Amino acid sequence: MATAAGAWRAMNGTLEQGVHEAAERKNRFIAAHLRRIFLLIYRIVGSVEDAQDLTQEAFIKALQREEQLRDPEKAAHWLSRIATNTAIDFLRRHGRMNFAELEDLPEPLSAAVSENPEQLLLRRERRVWLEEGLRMLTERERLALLLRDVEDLPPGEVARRLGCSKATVRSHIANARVKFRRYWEKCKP
Amino acid sequence: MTHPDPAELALYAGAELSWLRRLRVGGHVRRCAACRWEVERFREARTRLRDMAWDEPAGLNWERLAAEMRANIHVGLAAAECVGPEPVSGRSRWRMAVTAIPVAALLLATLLLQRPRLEPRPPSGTVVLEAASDGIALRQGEAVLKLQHPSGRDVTYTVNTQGVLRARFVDAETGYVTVNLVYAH
Repeated sequence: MATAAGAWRAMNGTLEQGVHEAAERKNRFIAAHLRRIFLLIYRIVGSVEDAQDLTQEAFIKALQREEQLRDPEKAAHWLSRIATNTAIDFLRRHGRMNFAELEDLPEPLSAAVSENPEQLLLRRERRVWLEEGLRMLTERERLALLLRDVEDLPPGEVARRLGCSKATVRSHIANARVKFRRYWEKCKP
Repeated sequence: MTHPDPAELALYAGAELSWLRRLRVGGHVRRCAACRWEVERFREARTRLRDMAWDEPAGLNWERLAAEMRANIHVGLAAAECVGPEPVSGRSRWRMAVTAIPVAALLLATLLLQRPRLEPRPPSGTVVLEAASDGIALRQGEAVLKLQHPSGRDVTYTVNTQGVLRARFVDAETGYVTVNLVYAH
């Protein structure tokens, strides 16, 4: 009897440990990728509030398939794909990029008081500069440029995510680089 | 000298040209300082974009936003677990198997018991009382004694444990009820 109770306790302990480890794995996964995914989506959709919603959606979708998280490298790639697709779907539904001003954000999301005013100003200028540059591109050019030059995906993978041929993606990338370079030279930050 | 167009140089800078085009454009770029400079500018712009794209939006309190998102993700996952289909765990699979085995055994036993069995033929000397399509028959070997009723009637046969075979039918024209009883001793 005592042996059975002991075995039962041991089994319960193992199960609890398994649940705890799974929760830890999820937390580590979120911590490792949250910033990257948020910024990727933010650069695609151009709004902090939309990027927040879409980032959460992407993580929820990804974490519901725990078996995909075992290999960290594949999991990061897979999450990135989910995030891109979620952002592209959003753009298809809304058909626009909306760079909401940070002044319009709800209070808790506005800047920390401790931030240096000079740094804040500099960062604001850089942000405005980058957003203006991205705004000059068409939606496809912007997506192709971000996925290729920021996410560093191979052109074939960019083509798969955008649902077009490699030749079309190359054309988007080339146009985007030419436009962005001209913009960069005309008004350097 | 014909220079490659800017789009081609942009793709050369990112190593996206096909092998042959890359070879041709690369040959030109090595000889032409102006195109080399162009390629360098494309690479510089690319590096610049990559650096700046990972800047958090200015004025954003990232720590608070990240904490809010983490909390919302956990809430979303919990909600999805509540409304989504229950995943079949290893333990559940065992439980299902343990339940399924007795049910399957019960079904098999029922099928075996319900299966129509061929009655052993009685020995040739035995007298057999049976209900036939046209009446009650008393059979011994090849000899048959039959209490017939008009064919096509709707006859109800009943047998009881005392060895009584009863045939009952109604005459459609007269309304008379006929009951034949045969006792086996």
